[in-house]
Amino acid sequence: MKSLKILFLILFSSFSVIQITDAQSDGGRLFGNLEMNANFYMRDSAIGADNTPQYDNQLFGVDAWLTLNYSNWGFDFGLRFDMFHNSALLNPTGSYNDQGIGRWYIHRRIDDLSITAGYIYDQIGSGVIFRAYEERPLLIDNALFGVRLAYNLTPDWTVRAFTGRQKRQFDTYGSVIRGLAIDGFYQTSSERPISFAPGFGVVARTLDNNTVDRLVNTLRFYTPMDREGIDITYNTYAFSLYNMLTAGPISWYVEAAYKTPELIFDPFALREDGLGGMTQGKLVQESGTVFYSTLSYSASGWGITLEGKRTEYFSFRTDPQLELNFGQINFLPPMSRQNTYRLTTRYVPATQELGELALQADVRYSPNRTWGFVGNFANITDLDGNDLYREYLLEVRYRYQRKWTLTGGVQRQEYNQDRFEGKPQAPIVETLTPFVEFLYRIDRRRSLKLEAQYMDTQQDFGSWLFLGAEYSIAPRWIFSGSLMYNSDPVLTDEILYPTLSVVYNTGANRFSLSYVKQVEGVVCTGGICRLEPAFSGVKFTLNSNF
Amino acid sequence: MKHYLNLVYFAFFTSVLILFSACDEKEVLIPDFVLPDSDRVVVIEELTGVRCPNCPGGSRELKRIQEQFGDNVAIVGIHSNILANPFPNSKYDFRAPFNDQIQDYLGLPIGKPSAYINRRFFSNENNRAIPTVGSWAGYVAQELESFATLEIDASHNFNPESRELDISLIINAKSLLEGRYQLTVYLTESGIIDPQLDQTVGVIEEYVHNFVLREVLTNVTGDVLPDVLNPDQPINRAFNFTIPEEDGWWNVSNMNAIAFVTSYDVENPDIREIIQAVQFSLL
Repeated sequence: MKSLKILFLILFSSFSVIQITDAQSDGGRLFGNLEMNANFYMRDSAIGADNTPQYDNQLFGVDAWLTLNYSNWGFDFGLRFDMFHNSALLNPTGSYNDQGIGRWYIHRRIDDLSITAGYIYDQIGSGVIFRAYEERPLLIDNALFGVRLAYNLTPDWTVRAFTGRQKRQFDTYGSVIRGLAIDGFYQTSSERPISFAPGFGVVARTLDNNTVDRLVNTLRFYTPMDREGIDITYNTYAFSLYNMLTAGPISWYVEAAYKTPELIFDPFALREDGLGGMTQGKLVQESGTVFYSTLSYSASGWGITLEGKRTEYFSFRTDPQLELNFGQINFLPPMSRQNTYRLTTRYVPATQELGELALQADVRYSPNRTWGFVGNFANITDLDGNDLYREYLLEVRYRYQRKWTLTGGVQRQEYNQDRFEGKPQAPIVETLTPFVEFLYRIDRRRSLKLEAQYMDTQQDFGSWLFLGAEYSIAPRWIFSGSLMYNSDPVLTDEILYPTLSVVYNTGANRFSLSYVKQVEGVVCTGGICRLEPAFSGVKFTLNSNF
Repeated sequence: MKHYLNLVYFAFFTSVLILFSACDEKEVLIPDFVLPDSDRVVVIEELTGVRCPNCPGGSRELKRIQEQFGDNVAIVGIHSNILANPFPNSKYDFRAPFNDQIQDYLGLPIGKPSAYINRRFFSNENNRAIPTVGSWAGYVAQELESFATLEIDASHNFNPESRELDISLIINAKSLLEGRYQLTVYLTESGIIDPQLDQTVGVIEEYVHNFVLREVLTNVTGDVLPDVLNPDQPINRAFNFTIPEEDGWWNVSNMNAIAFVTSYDVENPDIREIIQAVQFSLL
């Protein structure tokens, strides 16, 4: 610990040239964490865990993030070392190798002004026009490499401005992003106060010459008909107006966003191929809109949330020709329930940035400490009314004193695999998944959790059975094992996917060792999803805070 | 309260003014395509597969590129392992170990179809294999903005009875070239009819597969050439290959040979580029 402190003192000694008149050393505070994931790959062609460099030759891969933060003299410093060796995070079928400083920042507050330089994470509103964030499981790191200023106009009103370029692994993309947001808070002084948290944000993206040249070079090969109405602009602006209203048990968030016309890649648009036929996918020039609202009520054991979102052509990327999860400037909130069980999370709808009409209702009722009920409904269509996703879920929880808890329910899903996974002509996957979980507290330290789920479906891989058990000895040990069985297979033989895991906690360190055999599936974090190939092997993870 | 609101209004309007102070932009012109006057031949190595639903779109784009650029492009379809398992009713299996070796050597794609264009790692791309089909033609045009630094003269002889193919290559630098160079020779075949998955219509049973890589006559990663290519000292290379009997494929009248020289950097694998190629049909 002491050596790390010395390292930081050396690293930041160059800042001694800054005249610090009122900031004196307070002894400083150094803290951070390490996250490391190591994968040992064991080829299993029966489940499709093969034909990648990790299974064929490398056999081992590791991803690690070491974060250090140091505060002193009124400054905050941050430094993060990232390492990816034989990593499948960037490209699930490829191997990525690199290491270096993944993030650094300096932050200083001077009266009402806050200054940050380096790699910045931030967002405006719910992130519809701008969100710089990190999702390590998908190797999304959209930090803005630049400068951010925030000024408290009043105790309740803050204005933020930032400019920079988006991080691209250990480099940056060429386009420049700048933005401004004003966020406020106002509360009535009546007996039953009503509060408002309004905000307004603007983000502008200026394409770099390389990107514009590429666009020109692409468009010059389009037929005149496909090029009609296209006007390349360097600058695109996105605006967002939002407010959170809170009145007693009711909260209402509403956000409306507009993006000026820009070139975006529409993978479904048809382009003349110049040979008399058509090919799918082309650049189109469209303005974008998003309307998003969530209304919540929470009182007397009830928790009700209604959500709605309409998205039209709201792809906002640092380079319009980037695809998948690369170069996204914004973040569109997901509109389905974030389930937790293995089989209820097997089909998760990815956010559709080009066109989506989504509604969700979530109702929770807990009349007392013994009973709890959850009902959820989500419906997502495209703007032409084509069904993309529908989910119904009912869940009941019964708690017997503090001894045991029984949770059971059923989920029904209709999932457009063609659209979400790009599997052409794949039928809508229709599932019915009953699930049950039993948590038994043996004593104050030990507990046993058993869970069972069955997914009935005739599509994709067919039906699944999942059985899991977890034995915990607080605060140190967790032992768990599960079996996932393709009981009524459509694509493969009847295959068993076992997982065994042990977790050991000691102080601020957490070690986890697992043997995993996992079927191919969609992995989502916060509505951002991608199709991950099957996994077979051993995983070791270490999380350490200091 | 009024003071606060004044501050908010001031900040709001100032910021909007700053952001929109220069809304008018000079128009970016999109010039019509004119075939560049270049002696270069650009090699497009497309990663494809019979179970890749978007690959027919990629193939159509390649056909269009071939029509637009004519002899300035040489196209190869590499059926590497991803999405390339034959269908139960497939007559042919386009996969072969050299496809995967090429893919591993040049870098895996983020998806299919993707294409290596002159094997260059373009600065705006995340991968050497470029997944945006619509941008391929632009990169080809970009490559044709320069002239070749060497010439490859090819001659060949095919004996229809023995089905023996002899290829002779003369590599001649236009000026003194120093670096690391490799020579690669491919045989490709077009017009092979077999099933293919398509994004819009599902499996097309009688799909015409073009540019399929059938054989590599050199090392898969290329035969190493001397570090110095002197214009006065042409390099001769000869290859012999017996083409298997025709069985629906190995149809010589549909086959091409492509030979190309790659410049590369041992220390930095990102620096690798095909500097010239030649293509000719076997009949």
